Amino acid sequence: MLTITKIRLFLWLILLITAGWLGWQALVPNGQISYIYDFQKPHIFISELKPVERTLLPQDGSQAVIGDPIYFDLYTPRHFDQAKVTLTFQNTAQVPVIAMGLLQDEQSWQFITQPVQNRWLDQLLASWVKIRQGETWLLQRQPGYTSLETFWQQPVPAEEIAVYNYQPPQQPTLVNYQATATQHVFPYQLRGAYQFYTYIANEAVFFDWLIKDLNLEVGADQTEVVVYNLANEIVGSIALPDDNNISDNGLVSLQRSLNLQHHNLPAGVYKVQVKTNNDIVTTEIATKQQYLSFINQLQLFSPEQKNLVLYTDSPILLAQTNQAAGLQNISVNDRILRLDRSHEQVSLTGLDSISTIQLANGGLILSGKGVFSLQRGGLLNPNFQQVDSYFKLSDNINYVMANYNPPTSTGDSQMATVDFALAGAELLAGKYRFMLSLPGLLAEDQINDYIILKEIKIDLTGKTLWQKLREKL
Amino acid sequence: MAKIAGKIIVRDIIKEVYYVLGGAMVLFGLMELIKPQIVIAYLNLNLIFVVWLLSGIILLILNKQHD
Repeated sequence: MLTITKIRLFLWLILLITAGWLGWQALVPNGQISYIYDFQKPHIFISELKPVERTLLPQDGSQAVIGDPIYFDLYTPRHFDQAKVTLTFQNTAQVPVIAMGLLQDEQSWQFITQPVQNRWLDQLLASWVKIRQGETWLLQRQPGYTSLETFWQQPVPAEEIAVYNYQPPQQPTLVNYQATATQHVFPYQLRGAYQFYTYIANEAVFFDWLIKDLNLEVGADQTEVVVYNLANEIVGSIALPDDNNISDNGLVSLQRSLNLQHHNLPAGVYKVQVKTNNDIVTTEIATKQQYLSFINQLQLFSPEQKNLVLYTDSPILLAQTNQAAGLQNISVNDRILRLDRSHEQVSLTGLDSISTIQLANGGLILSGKGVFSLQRGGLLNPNFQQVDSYFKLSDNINYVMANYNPPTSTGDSQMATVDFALAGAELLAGKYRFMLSLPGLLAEDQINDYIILKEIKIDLTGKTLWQKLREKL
Repeated sequence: MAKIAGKIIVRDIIKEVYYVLGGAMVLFGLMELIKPQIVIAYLNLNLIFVVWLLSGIILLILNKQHD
């Protein structure tokens, strides 16, 4: 009888210890926990890579990625402040730039990205004169400057500078800019979210949007406009609520106006971000600002709009349409980009410093690595040349500045660590969405190229249980 | 006689296992309700259920033999 009592006590004790351990794992009282996905078996907190079309099946504790970008989700049992992601990989495809991102805004599908590997920088770090201050590298073709401070005290022409993951301390100013009271109109209809640069000096910010709601998807279609300075600080915002039709009945709303006015902003370049979804179409943008340079992407809505002309400084142009009416031959300077299949992206690389894009009609998505504008002289891009996947080391580039930690070699693999603040991140169904960006790696091409992922380790840190209790009390 | 005593001990042990696993399922179920994925992240509740069911069936068989 005594034996049975001992067995009973033992079994219930095991159950209590197990429950206590599970509670500990969920609460993470010390505020620190690590999760490792080793591609051997599914991980409950780190999802499998998706979409599956851009990966091969996991094999022998690794998984090949054949397309860009790929995503994975992270579920956390409690709130954390910081995520340190360590990626072990083999860049067999020799992708020039690999970056990891964390979703910040679902509507505009905006990720904050951190570098994983930049092969251009790896080469320059091995061959150029290098100075490191904090996280920032100053790379020089020939020795000249001894610190970043002395460099920015006597800046060189912008054409000689390239940057990566680095915000220069100086803001560009347009010396001959004169503010006018004339109102300009951007006439092309734009679908969904977009962002553009504008310049303000001794004038008020004035933008007037005309917006309609297509009501093709279920849910409220709010539009929010946020103005940022180049330090990425919000200096103004305005919102337009849904048109009170949250169904997907396809009843197009009447045009509604959204007006943004802001006085007394210091002179400089500002970024205006229109956050919305694909149910919203901007039919017109009226502004008193002289510069309206759309960043990276434009979704030209209407195939009824004919003979559109745009200018870009992007070295690459990508085009895609999801409708037959959007198919066309796009004239880019003296070259032709044939958009002859829907739902398929076509591209043109090696473009001039400024290219003229002539479209027969709208109904397509144009994207690149630069800005798009209505006028050749209206291209406003405050960014220096980027050491990204489209970078070419020309003879006139003499200085490179970058916030970058090169990956370390571990046997036949490399290991890179990136840090993300979780505070501003957006949750999708309670999970953080991470992205691995591998520009140039296409699943659709017939080339047998891939990178191999061997391990994803995520170290999470946050407040301890004691700190949380003290805050509550 | 010794064979019967051994069977009784086995039955009592299985009975204890049956009760503990039943308790585990209730406890883990409640924990999952309070904080989803807290248990299934680490334990297979289906497996616990199957073992609990098997122990119940064996217990019934042993009880019948004993009667």
